[in-house]
Amino acid sequence: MSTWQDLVTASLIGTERAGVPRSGFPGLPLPADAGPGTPDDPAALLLDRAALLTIARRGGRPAGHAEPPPAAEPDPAPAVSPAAGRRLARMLGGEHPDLLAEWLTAAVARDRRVPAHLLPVLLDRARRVSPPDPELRRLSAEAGGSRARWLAGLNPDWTFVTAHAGTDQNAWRLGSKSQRRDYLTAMRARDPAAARELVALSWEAAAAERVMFLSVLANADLSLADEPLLEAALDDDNAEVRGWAAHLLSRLPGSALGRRMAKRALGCVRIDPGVLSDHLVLSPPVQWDMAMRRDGLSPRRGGHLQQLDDRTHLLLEILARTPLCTWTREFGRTAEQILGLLPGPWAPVLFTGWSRAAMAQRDQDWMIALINWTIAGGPTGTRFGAETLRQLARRVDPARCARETTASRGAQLPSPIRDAISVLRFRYDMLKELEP
Amino acid sequence: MSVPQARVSTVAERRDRERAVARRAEQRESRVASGLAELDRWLCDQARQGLAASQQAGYGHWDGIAARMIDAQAPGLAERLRALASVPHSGAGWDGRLLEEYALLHLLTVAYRRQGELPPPLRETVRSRIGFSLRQADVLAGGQPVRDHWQVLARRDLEQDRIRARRTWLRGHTTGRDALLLSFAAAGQPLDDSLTVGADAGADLVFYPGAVPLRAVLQARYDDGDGGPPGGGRVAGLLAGYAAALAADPWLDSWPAVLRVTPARAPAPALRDADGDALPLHPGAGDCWPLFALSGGRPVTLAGEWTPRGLWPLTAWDEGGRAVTL
Repeated sequence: MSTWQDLVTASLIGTERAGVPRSGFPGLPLPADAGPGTPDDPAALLLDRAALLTIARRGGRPAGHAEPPPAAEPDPAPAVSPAAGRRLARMLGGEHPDLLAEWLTAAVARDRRVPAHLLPVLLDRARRVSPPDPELRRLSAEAGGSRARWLAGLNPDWTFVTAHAGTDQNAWRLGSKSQRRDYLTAMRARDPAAARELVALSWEAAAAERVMFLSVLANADLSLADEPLLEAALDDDNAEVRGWAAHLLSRLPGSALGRRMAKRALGCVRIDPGVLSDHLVLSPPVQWDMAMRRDGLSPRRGGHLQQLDDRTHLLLEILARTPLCTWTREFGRTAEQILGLLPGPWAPVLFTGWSRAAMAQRDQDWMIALINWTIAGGPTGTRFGAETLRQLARRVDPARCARETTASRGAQLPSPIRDAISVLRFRYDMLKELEP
Repeated sequence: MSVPQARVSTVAERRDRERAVARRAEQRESRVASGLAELDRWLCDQARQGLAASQQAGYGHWDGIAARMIDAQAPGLAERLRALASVPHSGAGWDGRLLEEYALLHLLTVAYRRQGELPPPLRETVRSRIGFSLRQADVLAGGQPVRDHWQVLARRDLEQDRIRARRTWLRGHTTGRDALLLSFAAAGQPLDDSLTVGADAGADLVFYPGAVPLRAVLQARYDDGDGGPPGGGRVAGLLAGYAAALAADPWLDSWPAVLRVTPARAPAPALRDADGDALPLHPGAGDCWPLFALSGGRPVTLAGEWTPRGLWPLTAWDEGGRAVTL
C-alpha cells in the first residue's frame, strides 16, 4: 500500500509529471481510481486523497513515548507568598529591575523560595546581566533552592547554580575567572574564615586576580579578621588593588584606617557656638600628603564633582570614609540634630560625604536622618545631590522612614524626591510581602 | 395628517431595505462561489505543477490569492492562505504540512459547492470557515443558553493584521462542555480582561451553530468563584475526543486539552501521562522552561490547545492549586 509520504512526493513533483498514488491508511478502504465522485483531474484527485489521509492521520494519531527526567528533590523551604511572587514576576518584566538583588536577599534571609515557574527567567537574567553580577547569580541560586539545582542539571546555561552550591573544587583550580569569582563568593557567604584562608594562600597571583578577590568582599559582611590583609593591600603595587583596599577598610567598623580618617575629619569640621544657635564650621584640608594617598584619598576631581575645587573634593573624600560614630560621639548629638546645624553653602558637600559614608557603613540611623532631611527640602537641586538621593532611597530601611514619606505632599515635589518616595514605597511593599 | 403618511413610507422603506439586504446576500453568495471556484483552480494548479517550487516563492505567491479571496468576500480563506507563506520555512516536513493545508482548503471548496447535501450544523461550520460570520445578536437570539460554572482554563492572545485576538477556553463544571470565547481589539488597545485564568465564572453561554459547537458568546454572568485546578485527563482520552470531533469537523485544528502529565525533554519536548502515553509539545511553543520548572519532574495539571503539530501549553496549576499562565 502506498503511504502518505508517497502522496507528498507526488505533490512535490506535480501531477503533470507524476501519477497519483493510491495511498491508504490502516483501517480505511483503498481509494478507487475511477467511479462516481472521483474527479477526472489528477490534481483534484490528489488533493481529495490528501484531504482524506490528512484527517485520518490526525484522528488516528497514536500516542508516543517520552522519558521524563528524574524528579527534583523536595525543598523543605516554602515558596514566597503569592503577592511576593507576582511582584517578582513584574520586576523580571522590567519594573525596578535594580531592586532584584534586594528581593532575593530578603527571600534568602527568610529562607523562602522563588516560585518555580519564575526560575527560568530569573536564572537567564542572572546569567546574562551585564556587567556580570556574581552576587545576583549566588542569590538566584540560593533563593531557587533544590528546584534551581534540578533545572541546572537540564540546561547547561545554568550550571552556575551548581557552581554556587560551592562544592566543585575544580571551579577554583581550573575554572574561568568568573567561575572562580562565583566559587569564592559562595565560599565567603558560607564560611568567611575558609574564604580568607583561600585568598591568603592565593594572594601572590596576578593583580587582576587580587582585584577579583577584593571585589568579592564588596557585598560581604566584613570583620576585623579581614583587616590585616586589607591594610597590607594598601601598599600593593597595583593602584586598583590599593583603591579596593581603602574602600573596604573605610566600610569596616573599628579599622585603623577609620581612626586615621576620623582624625583628619575632626580637623576640618567643628561646632561653633553661635549667639543664637550653634553651627558647623568647615575648613577643608590645606595639604595632601603621602599618608592620605596611602589611605586612598586623592584630590583629583571626576564625575559629577567637576564644580568642586581640589580642597573641597579632598574634604568630601575624607567625610565619605570617616566612621559616622565619630560625629555623634564628638558632638554629643544625634544624626538628626547634626543635620539641623548644616551651614547653607557647605550643605551639599556634607550631605554627599555623609550619605556615602552612611551607605558604605550601612548605618541606618544616618541614612534615615539624611533622607528625611532631603525630603524636607535638602539640596537635591544639584546633580550629585539627586544621584545621592537616588542611591539612599535604594538602601535605607523603608519601614523606618515610610511614615514620613507616605505622608508627604503630592505633586509639587521636585522629581528626584518624587522618584525617591516611589522607590521607598515600592520597597516597603516588597519587603512586607516577603515577611513570613 | 402627516403621521399616517410617515407610517406608509416607513413600511415601504423597510420593504426596500429587506430587498436590498437579500440582494446583497445573493450577490455575496455568487461572489464567494466564483471566488471558491478560482481558489480550487489555483489549488489544482499547485498540485499539477508541484509544490517543490513553493520553497522559492515569496510571500506574494500566497498574498495574491489571499487578496482575491478578500475581493470574493471570503475573509476566512484569505487568513488561512496568508498563514501558509511561512510553512515552506517551517523546517523538516514542510512539504507534508503544505499539502495538508492545500488538501483541507480543497475539501472546503468541495464542501461549499455541495453545501445543499450537508446536514445544517456542518453547513454552518463550512460557511463560518469560509468567512460568513454570524452577528453576536443573531447567535444570542437563535441559541439556547447553557448555564454552568465555567472554569476559565486558559487564554491565548494572537495578533494578526493589526488586530489582536484573545481566545479564552472554558470548561463547564456540571455540563463538562468546552467553550471558546473570542474577543478582539485593535493593535495597542486593551483586550477584554473580565475573565481571569484559574477562576470560575457562573455564566450563561450561547454556542455558535456548527458541527462541533465550541465557539460561544457570553450572555450573562451571575457569580464568580475561586476555582481550582480542573481534573486533568489522560492522553488516550484527549486523542479519542479529538478524533471524534474531527469526524464531525475535519478543519478543526485547535482542540482544548486538560491533562495530568509529566513534561519530558527526551527524545523531544513532550508530555507523558500515568499510562506512559506521550504527546509532543508544539515546536512553536519554545523550550517551555517555566512548565518544566513548575513540574520539577512530577505530574502537573495542564491546560492548552492540542493541534496537529503538538500541544501548545497555556496554563499549569502549581502545588498550591494556583493557576500559572505559561
